[in-house]
Amino acid sequence: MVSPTEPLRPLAAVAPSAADAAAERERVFARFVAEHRDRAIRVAWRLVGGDDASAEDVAQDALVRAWRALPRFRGEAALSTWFYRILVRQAANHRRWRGVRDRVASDEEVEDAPDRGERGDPLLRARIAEALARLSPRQREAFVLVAFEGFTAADAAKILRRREGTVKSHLNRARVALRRELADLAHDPGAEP
Amino acid sequence: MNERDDDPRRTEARPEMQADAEDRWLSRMREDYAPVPLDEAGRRAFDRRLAARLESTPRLRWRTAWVSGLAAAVAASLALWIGLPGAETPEIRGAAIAPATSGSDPAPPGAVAWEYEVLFPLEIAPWEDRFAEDLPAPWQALARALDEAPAAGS
Repeated sequence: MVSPTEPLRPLAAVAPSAADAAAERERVFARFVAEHRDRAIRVAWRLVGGDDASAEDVAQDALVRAWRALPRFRGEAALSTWFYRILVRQAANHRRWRGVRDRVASDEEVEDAPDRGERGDPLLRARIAEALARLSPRQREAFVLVAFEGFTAADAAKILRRREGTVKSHLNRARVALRRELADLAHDPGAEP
Repeated sequence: MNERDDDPRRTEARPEMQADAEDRWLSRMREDYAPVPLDEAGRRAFDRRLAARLESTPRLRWRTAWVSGLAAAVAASLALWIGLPGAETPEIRGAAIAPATSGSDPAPPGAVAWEYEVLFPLEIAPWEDRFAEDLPAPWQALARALDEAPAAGS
């Protein structure tokens, strides 16, 4: 049984015939989607700035790209590392082209993801989104992956294709900047002022 | 030195308090900055959309369409500019440079471009005007005869 979190052997080695390889690919991908769907949407949501529809679009785009590239996956890294690399790149593209796309998208029929409502304090969420938007893209990616999503610095370095020390440095700078802007979040609500 | 900094209880408690504050800060960030998770219906809808996209052939994405449109506009502008009657390309005609002409505006035969007149005046000036006074009398007569003779082939 192939685990999506374990390094995946090249599909040709697992399944000798083309039909077997296709079946194996579908099986692995279906399991991967079931296990990583929610996390992929959450990572995308935090990277694109807290928009449900955009997060689902980015997650879908990343999964479609991963599916098409799966035959070329060489198994040198864990499947999840490989997929989150695609997702982070897709989110960066989404942010970069947001302005142009918004203008073009008004002329297109787009099937939006259903609105899932809101969670927590919307003002606080907006403040966090603005503070994250002021970080550099590299700092934001490092912070979202490690501080929010719980990836280790080593895993984040593999996903972002950077040295671990570089990721730690970006993470530290992001943390300092965010602590400065959102210092009030550290106060214990139950404690006396 | 500040007296408060010398208090050992304070210096021992500080890293722990800092760690608590850091954890609290991070945990509030995680809780407040997260999407509402998909419910079962949302997951099914997501999977349906994904399956539909995986089964469809790759379509022209908006960015590709945008770049293609821009390239087509540039090509059309170039074609229009080249086709305009005002965009003339000089061509060499015999010893002179004359502007290229369209059928509706033929240049007079033997027309000389003004650039050529400015750059090579001696080439254009009649032969006898240049050297007539320097030649001996018999040669002057010969030169005059040559000038007056009809051009070969005309």
